[in-house]
Amino acid sequence: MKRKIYHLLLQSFDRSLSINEQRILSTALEESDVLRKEERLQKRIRDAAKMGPGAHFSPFFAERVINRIQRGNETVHDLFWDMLIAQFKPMAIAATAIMIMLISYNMFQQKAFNVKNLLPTAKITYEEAMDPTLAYFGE
Amino acid sequence: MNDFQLIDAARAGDHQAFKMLIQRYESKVAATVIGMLGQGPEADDVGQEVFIRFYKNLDQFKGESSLGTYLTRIAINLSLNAIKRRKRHQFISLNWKDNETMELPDPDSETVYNEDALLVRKAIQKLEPGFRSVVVLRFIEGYSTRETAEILNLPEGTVLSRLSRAQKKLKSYLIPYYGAKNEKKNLPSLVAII
Repeated sequence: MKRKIYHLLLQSFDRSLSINEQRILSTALEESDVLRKEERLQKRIRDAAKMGPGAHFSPFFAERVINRIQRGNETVHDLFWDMLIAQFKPMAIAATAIMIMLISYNMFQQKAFNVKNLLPTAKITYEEAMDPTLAYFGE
Repeated sequence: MNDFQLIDAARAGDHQAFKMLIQRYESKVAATVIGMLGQGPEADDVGQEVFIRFYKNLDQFKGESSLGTYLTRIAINLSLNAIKRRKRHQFISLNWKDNETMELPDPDSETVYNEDALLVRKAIQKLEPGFRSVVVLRFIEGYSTRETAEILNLPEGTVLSRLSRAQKKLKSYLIPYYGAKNEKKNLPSLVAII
C-alpha cells in the first residue's frame, strides 16, 4: 500500500489524478510526515531543474552555423575528398605499419642491417627467374 | 516577421532569415542538448548539427507541430546519437561515473540556489539516455507528458513510468549531497526520508 501511495505521489507531478486517487493521496499526506518530506524533496528537485542557468552555446553560434551552411554549399567536391581521405586514411596507416613490420622482420632474419636486406628479394639471376623449369628443378 | 515568414525566406536562400531563426531558437535547442550532453564542445557541435539538419530539410517542415517542438525532436535524436557514439568510442566526457563523487558546493555561499540547480543538472546527466530525454523534456523544457510522448514517439504510459523511475534515481543520486548540505546548515537531514 505504501509503495502504491509513493508511486501515486510521484505520478501526481505528471498527470492529473482521479478524484479517488487524489483523496487517497491527500489522506496519506496528512497522516505521514515522511510522505510530506518526500513531496517537498521531489518539488525541490523539479524546481532546481527548472531554475538552472540559462542554456547558451558558445558566442557567435548563429554565425558559425551560417558559415557551415555556406561552406557546405560551396565545396561539395571538398567534402568528397574529405570523405575519401577519411575512408583511406586508416588503410594507409595499416599498410605503412605492415610494411615497417615486414622490413624489420627481414632485417632481423638476415642479421645484417643494410639496404639490400630490407626487402625479401631472392638471390637468383634474371635467367633463373624467367625460366620456370630451372627454378623448379634448381633445388 | 513570424517563424513561417522566416522559413519561407530561408527556403528562398535568405541566410539572414535563417540566422534570425537560429537566434530565436538557440536557447531552446541549447537547453535540450546541454541537458542531454552537458556543457561543452560536443554539445555545441550537436547544436550546430540540429540547425544544419533543419536547414537541409526546410522543405519537409510542414508546420504540423511548432518549430520549437520540431527542433527539440531533432535535438533529442542527435543527442541520443551522440551518446551512442560516446559509448562506441568508450570515452566519457560527463566527468561523473557511477561510483564517482562530485564536489559539494559551499552551503554558506550566496549562490546555493544556483548550485542546487547545478547539482540536479549533473544528476540528470547521470541518468540513462532513455530516462534523461524524458526528464530533460519534462523538467527542464516544461513539456507536458503528452507532448513529451509525442516528441519521443513513445506511449504516454511509458513516459509516466520512466518519469517515476527517473525521480527515484535522481533522489538516490542527490540525497547524499542534500543531506550533507543540510547538516552543514543545521537543518534536519533529508536522508531520513529514504
